[in-house]
Amino acid sequence: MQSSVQPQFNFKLLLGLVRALFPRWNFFDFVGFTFQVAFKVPDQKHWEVLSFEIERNTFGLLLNPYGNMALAKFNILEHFVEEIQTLIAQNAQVSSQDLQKKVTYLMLVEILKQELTGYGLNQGVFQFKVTALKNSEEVDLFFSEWISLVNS
Amino acid sequence: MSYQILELLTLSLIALFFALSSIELLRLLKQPQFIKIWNYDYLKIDLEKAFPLFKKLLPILFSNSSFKWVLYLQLILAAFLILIKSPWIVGCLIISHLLICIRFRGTYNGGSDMMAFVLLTGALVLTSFKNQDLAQFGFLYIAIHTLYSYLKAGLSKVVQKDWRSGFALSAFLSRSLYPDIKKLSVWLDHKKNISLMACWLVIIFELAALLIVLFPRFAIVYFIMALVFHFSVFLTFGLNRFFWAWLAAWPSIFYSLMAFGLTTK
Repeated sequence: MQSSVQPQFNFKLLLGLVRALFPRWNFFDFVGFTFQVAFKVPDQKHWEVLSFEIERNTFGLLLNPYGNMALAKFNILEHFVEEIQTLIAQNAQVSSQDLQKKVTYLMLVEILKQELTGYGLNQGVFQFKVTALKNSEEVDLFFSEWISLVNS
Repeated sequence: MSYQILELLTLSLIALFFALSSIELLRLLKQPQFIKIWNYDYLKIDLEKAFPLFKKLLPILFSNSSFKWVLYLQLILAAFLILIKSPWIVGCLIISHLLICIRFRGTYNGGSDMMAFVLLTGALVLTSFKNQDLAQFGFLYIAIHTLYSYLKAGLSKVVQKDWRSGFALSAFLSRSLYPDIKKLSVWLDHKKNISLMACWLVIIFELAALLIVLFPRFAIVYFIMALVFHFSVFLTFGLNRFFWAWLAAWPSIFYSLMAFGLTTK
C-alpha cells in the first residue's frame, strides 16, 4: 500500500509567500549586518568570496534583467540567514543537516554550483560559509559540509 | 488635467510596469542558470507546506514550463489594459502578479512588487465602477499609499542614529551591486560633511511628502524631486522597477489633490 504523507501546513510560510499583499515602506532604514558567502575547493587554502556585482546596462532603466536577478540572488542569501537565525532562536546549535532541507539552502548551493561551473569546475566537491559583516566586525554564521558539484 | 486623461495615464503606466517586468523575466528564462536556481523541484518544498490543499494544482501553477505561460499571459494582459478598461483584466493581473511573487518566495523585487499590488487594487476600483464618484476612490487609495510610502520611509530613517549622523548612506552604498557605487561610498566615508548633508537631504525629501497635503501647489515640485530621487535609486542600486511603479502612482496623487478640494487647478 502506498502511503502519502501530507506536508504539515505552515501558516508563517504562507504569510511569507504572499507578503507582497501587505505593503511595508521601511526602505534602507536600519544599517544592520550585511552578508557574504565564500567558497573553497579541497586544494584551496583561502575562502573566495562569491561576488554578486554586476555591470551597468545602458537601457537598464527600462530593462534590467541581470541586475534584478543579481538582487534576487542576494535576497536568497538574506533569506538563508533568516533561516539560520530562526534555527538559532529555536536551538542553540545549528546543524548543517537541519539547513540542508531548506529551500534557501538548496537555491544557494545551486548559485554556488553555477559560479564554480563558470570557473571551469564541473566535478569534485566544494564547501561554503556564510559570514555577517558590519563595519570591521565579521561573524561566521554557517559552514557547509563538502558538497558534490555533480547533482545526485 | 481631466479624470479621463489621468485614468488613461495611470492604466497605461501600470501596463508599462507589467510589460517591462514580463519582458525582463522572459529574457531571464532563456538563461539555464535562472531556471536551475528558481527550480520548481526546490520551490515545491515550501509551496506544499504553505498550500497543502492545492497540492495537485501547484505543478500546474508553478512548474518551470508554466512560469513562461504566466509571463506571456501577464504581457498580453498589460497590452490589453491600455486598450480596454476592464476590471477582469486588472483581476487577472492581480492573480498573475501574485503567482510570480509566490514563485520568488514572496517578492521578486521587494517594495516595487508591493507598490504593484497597491496600483492594481486602485486600478480595480477605477475600472469596476462606471460612476466616477465611486471610481475615483481608486485614485485616492493609490495616492494615500504613495504619499504614506515616502513619509513612512522618512520617519523610519529619522529615528535611526546612523541616518541622523550621516553614516547610513555610505553604509548602504557600500552594499550596492555596482562597483562604481562602492567606490562612491568609500569617497563619502572621507567626506563626512557631504555624507551628513546627503543623509539629511534624503530624510527631508521623504518627510516633505506631508507638505503636499498641506500645500498642494508644492506637488509638482515634489514630483520633479521624486523623479530625481527614484532615478538616483536606480543608478545606485539598479532598482529600475521602483522607478516605474512609483511613477505610475503619481497621476493618482495629482487627481486626488484636485478632486478632494486641495488643489492646484
